[in-house]
Amino acid sequence: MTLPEFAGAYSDGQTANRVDAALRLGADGIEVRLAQAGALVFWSYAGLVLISPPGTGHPVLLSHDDYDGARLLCHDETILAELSSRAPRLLRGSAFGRDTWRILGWCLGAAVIFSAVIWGINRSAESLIVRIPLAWEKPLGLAVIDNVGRGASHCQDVAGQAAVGKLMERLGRSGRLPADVAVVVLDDPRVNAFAAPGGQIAILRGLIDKAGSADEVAGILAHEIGHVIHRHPTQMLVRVMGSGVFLQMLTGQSNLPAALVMLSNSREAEAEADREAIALLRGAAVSTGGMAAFFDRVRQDHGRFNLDGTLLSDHPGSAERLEWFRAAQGNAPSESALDASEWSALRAICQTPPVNER
Amino acid sequence: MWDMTQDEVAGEMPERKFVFTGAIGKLYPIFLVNLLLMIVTLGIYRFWGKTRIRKYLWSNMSLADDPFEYGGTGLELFFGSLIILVTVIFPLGLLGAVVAMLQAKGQTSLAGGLQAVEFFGIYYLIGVGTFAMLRYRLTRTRWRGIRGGVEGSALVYGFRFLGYALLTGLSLGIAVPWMQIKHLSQLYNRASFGSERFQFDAPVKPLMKRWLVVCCVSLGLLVVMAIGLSSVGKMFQPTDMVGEIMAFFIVVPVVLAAMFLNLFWYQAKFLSHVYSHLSLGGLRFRYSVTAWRLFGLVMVNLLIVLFTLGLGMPVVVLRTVQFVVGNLTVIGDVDFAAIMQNQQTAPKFGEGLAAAFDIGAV
Repeated sequence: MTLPEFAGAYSDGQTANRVDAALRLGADGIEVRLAQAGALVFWSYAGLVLISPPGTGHPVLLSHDDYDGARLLCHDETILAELSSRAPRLLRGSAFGRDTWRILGWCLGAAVIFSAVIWGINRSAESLIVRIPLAWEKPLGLAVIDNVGRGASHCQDVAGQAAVGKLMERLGRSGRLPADVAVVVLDDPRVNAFAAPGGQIAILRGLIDKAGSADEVAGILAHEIGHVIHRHPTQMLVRVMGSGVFLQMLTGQSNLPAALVMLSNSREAEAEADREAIALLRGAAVSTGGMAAFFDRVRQDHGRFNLDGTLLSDHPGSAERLEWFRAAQGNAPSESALDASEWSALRAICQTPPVNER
Repeated sequence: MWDMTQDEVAGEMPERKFVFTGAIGKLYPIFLVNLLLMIVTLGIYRFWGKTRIRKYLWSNMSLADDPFEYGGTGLELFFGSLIILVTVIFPLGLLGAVVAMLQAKGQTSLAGGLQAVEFFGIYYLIGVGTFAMLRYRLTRTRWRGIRGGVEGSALVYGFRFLGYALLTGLSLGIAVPWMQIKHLSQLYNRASFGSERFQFDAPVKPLMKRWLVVCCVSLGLLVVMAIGLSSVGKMFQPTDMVGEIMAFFIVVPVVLAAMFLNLFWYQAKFLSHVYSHLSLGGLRFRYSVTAWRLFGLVMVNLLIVLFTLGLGMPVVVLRTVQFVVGNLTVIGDVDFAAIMQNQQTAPKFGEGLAAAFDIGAV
């Protein structure tokens, strides 16, 4: 019986030279007879590796575990069929086979581990941050306010500030107000309010202009205080810097997973702040109907003014919250958060020109 | 020597072209499967996906009938990225947080100083990443079983990269061609195929002339745009908003297209200049690329990516490879029996920095 023979080429892995060779498929391996010098090289089937992907149009490229860098090249693709019966392991793993499933398994495992790490970062951020004194974060909070408020000046009107003080005093009656909370009103036309790290709360002038009553402002303020109590602003920063960087690195340039984490976190946080707000308003005997009225107003105006920023864009559906706040009031007794003169002072808080010193 | 199958005209240098047999029908399924697996694994599969694409591209490229092979693995890329995540990305994030704290405390000069350190640090790391990427790719590329390599230190190259860039900044950009040639000569003269070093020694002067003309034309085009905007506007009613908007949408695209073409005019010269001064033993290269063809390649690629929302990426990759292969010629001959296997130690992991700063294309 004659052994199958193919014409090919051989490179020894020592130099970039290539010589023509006759490949004879023996019982245990390929006998490679080199055209020049007539030398013979033996490649056992056991150590044979297929480098080129099997498929039409490709010359068959082989290497061998015992000969580092050496290559056999054969343009006749039928050699593959002959080889596969003699070296059954040869074609395995080169197509979409076991290797890919194994890699996929590892990737999924890694994805689970990384998700757990991110979950851990979030959890530990929550429990750690609550233990840090608020005052430590104050400079960071001031920087955030400057940044989000685009450097808008702080409204300084004395009577207006007294009205803000009154609101804080009312909300403090519940006994839930942290010691270091500070509120500034920024001379900025956007309808927004936000809590920054360090107990710093900013209300933008546009929100006071938009509000129909002091109860509405009190509701928003209570919501932001809710964020402060749960330390959401600092947690957010830690999440963005921790898990955000992590996810971005793992997923390449896409921000999508990070954004999803942020969104789910913030929805949870908003609900938490809402619950806290209701408790604060109850303790202050201020109607939660004010908050409901504000949502109603925003819902009707949706799209007419800029909703960028933190107050509204990430929040659970306004309609849902409206119902919630409306129902929360029930038949509980309430009195207006501010009297008429205090309310008009609050509305005029930005009309006194700022003192030329920050 | 080459195989004796070529038509050699006596007295003339033999010329050869790379042959690329890649097809979209084969590449696209790989791309799609990669995409799906990436989504399922929150992106972690991308290192293996990248490797599959490279294996396909490399194995479909051949020179003188001998195919190239890509020997890198997804695991190497994965660990490369993980190492950079810990040693570079997290520290950079911390530095950013420190800068923010200092700014908040009003220590602006210290914060500014740190920001400058961060800026130059990132630029330095881009240099390091470029060098390390070239080394990783060359050590993972084989032809006739012989692999490539790059000698020297990526960390040292980073300083050179930064230094030339700083000097060019001082020249207000006039020295850009000088910087490009310096960067490339630091890279290419350290690169090798097997034991044979690449040689790169390109004069800056011919590029400089072209660059200065391109700079002047760019400035001229800006002036034309300013004049054009005001005069086209005046052709309509002087206070007509529609006229001004029309002027904007006619003049700006025309001038921008001219500016792009102008830049490609330089880029075409740059590419053919660089390749004609690169050699490997007796082998030289010719890259016949014109501004028009380069403009066509890049613009159509851009449009494909834009209108397919990135799903046309494999088409872009194939177009680009085919463009290079079609225009690149290898001239001359070299004694391949005298080129020995590369003996430098190959890096264990790779391309973490390049991936972090988005340097590599494929």
